[in-house]
Order: sequence, then C-alpha cells, then structure tokens
Amino acid sequence: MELKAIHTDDSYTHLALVGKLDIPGVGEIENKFIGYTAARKKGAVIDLSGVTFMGSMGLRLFLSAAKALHRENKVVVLLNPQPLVREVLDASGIGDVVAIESDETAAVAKAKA
Amino acid sequence: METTLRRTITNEVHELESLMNATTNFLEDQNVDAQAVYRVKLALEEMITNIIKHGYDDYESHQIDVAIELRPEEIVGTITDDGHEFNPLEQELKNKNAALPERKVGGLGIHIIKELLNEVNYRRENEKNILEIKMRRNQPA
Repeated sequence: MELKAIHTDDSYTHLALVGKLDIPGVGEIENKFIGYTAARKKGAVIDLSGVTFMGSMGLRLFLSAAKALHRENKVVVLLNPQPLVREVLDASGIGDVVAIESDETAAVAKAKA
Repeated sequence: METTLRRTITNEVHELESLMNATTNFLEDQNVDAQAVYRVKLALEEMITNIIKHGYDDYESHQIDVAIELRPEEIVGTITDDGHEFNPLEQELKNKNAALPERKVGGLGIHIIKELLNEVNYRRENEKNILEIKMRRNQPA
C-alpha cells in the first residue's frame, strides 16, 4: 500500500492511495495518513482511483479522519473510487457523512471551503 | 476441475494474505466475475478478522477451516472455528444514520457483508461456530 502526497499547503491536502486497503495495507499507511489529515487540520482530498480493494478497516480510516477534521470545520472528500470500492462505500452508508466525488475540481473546492 | 477450495489457517491475521491469494486464483481460474470475487474475499476478510479478534477466550493457537465451493449458480463459503459461541449476524450497526460526530467507526464489517452478499447464515454445531456465505457467480447487470 502506498500513500502519495500530491499537494499540501495552507488551503488543503491532496493525497492519493494506491494498492489494497486491507488489514496489512491500512497498517502500512495509517500513521502517515493520520499525519496528513487529522494532524494537519486542513480539508483533505483522498484520491482512491488506485485502490483495488477496501474493507471495513479502510472505512474506519476515512471516518476517523472525517470526524477529526469535522471538529476543525474541515472535510474529507473521497475522489474517484473504482466501481467495486464504490460499492463498499455505498453499502456502508459513509456517503451520508463523507463526500464522494468523481470530479477533481469539485473535490478540491469542497476541501478548500 | 476442482470445485472446492479448502484451507486451514491459524488464528493470526497474517495468515489471511495467503488465503486471499488462494481464493483469488481459485475463483478467477473458474471464470467467476470480478464483482463476485471481490465480495467473497471481502466477506472472508471481515468474518475471519472478527473471529481472530473477538472469538477466543485464551491466547492459544486455534484452527479456522475455510471451504469455498463452486456450484453452477453460486459460490458457497463456509468458515468453521472453535471459538466461543458467537453469532456475528446478531450484531446491529449502531448510529448508522447518525450525523458525523456521533457516527461509530467500528462495526461496519458485518453491516457491509449483510448488504453485499446474497445470503449469510450462522449455526453452532459440535462446539463450533459455522458461518456460511452465499454469492451468485454472476450478478445481474
């Protein structure tokens, strides 16, 4: 599992995840992910287009970050999940509380707001 | 062609990886569609992780038996463990419609499996928990 920092400045954070968000995968990037999201306290776009598998551990990661940023009046935006990953997001109901976007410009605008 | 995959793993999370790889190879070799492969693997990961984390009252090594049977129309997965009696299907997701601050981060695994699999059954037999999942081989478009 790989976490890439695409953009980090005072207005927002843009990350890309690549690989499998299963238990080992989440373990590999969790601390770094928290550092770039909850600890930075900026709105965050998480590009999921490179994620090929995600279970409930991945959902936990995103919900935890979203809850932490909510306390700072900031949001997490999930960008471009693959169809099978999108199914898991939809089945979990996370989309009620975390934005899921297919357009990068719209995602960045939400994260910067 | 073999139509049932059988594996026995111990109650350690790192054992899941080889099971997942074997499951992927077995189902893809039988031309099961990608969505069904994904959902079966998701169910195995969520259910077995649950067993490993919550199923035992000691720190001993235990065996978990997994069988994945291909039938003409469906895939039937069976997970058998010797942990204490535990029916994961009785778990209800709390606060599932709550606003973000009150939303629970745990308990999502069983919820998504109930949503995505065609059938999930539990029974207790001979001091063992037996969890059965059923998934159609090809999902309607």
